[in-house]
Amino acid sequence: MVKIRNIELGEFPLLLAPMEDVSDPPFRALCKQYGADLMYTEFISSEGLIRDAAKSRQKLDIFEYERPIGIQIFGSETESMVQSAQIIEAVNPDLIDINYGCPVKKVTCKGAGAGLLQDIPKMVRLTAEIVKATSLPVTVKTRLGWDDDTKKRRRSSRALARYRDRSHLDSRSHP
Amino acid sequence: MYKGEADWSLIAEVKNNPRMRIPVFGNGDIDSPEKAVEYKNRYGVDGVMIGRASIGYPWIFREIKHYIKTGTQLEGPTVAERVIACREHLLMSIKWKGPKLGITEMKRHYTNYFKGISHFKDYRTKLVTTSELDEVLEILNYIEAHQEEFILVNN
Repeated sequence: MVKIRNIELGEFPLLLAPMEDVSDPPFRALCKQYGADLMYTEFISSEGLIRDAAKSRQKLDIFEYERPIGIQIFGSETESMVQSAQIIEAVNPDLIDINYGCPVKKVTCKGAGAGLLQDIPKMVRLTAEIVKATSLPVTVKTRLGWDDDTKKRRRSSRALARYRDRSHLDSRSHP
Repeated sequence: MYKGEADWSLIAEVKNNPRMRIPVFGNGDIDSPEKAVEYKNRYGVDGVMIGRASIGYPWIFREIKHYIKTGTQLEGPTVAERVIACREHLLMSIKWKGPKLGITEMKRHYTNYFKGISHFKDYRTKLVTTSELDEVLEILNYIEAHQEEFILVNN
């Protein structure tokens, strides 16, 4: 039985990835119906969330039938990410997921998403702060490294192992 | 956006590190039940995450489960089943986003829901060009009622 803290996920869970503009409640309803064991929301900007942007707030909508469900956030500022984790906790998902994998330039150039792979100590600190700030299980979605060199060293996964309840690894490096 | 094949051997290394005590789920390139099972056995991950392969094809989850359990392929959804799921998706989108956005944002899903159906182009074109719910539903209802006219060439 695979477990994340006390969330039981079965013998070999199938997870629905957080996909921007795809993993919204209507799509998730279909995936749940056909057997997804754990689903994630689209990623939500921590900067948008703390400013109460409508686009970010709307993505917090989750439903009872979706459980277990995780809400994914991205960002690079510790304070914004911690505040976001608290906002997320208030809507009561089953877990919080941190995005350390988004390769899109407008995200990574601000040091968020896969951009954090360029600064592993910061990634670890940020994760630790979020874990400390919430009572929810925290998972991360990350890549093996920023490029082929960091990928070989696999520091990201090793460094994070101490802090997260679970990780999912995307097997590509940042392109 | 993504380049190259996912390298799962490195995920396996992370997972099989004796100091790794948390579950590790693999993500990347899984698009069939066979691949899910092959990767499960070969790399020892605790589970897999499905992304692109589920877009317009939510059946992938039950197909993987069935394959793990029985070692046999579950029959893919019929044309009518695809219509039913697609319509359900559309109606929920409208309910959640409002008619305008619900109909517009649904357009990116039609190709996938009806992938592998021969001579479907005209219907797809109609589905992605109209912004009227009545018209979309009419097309979907037609496909459902005349599913024998549509031939599924592959999944």
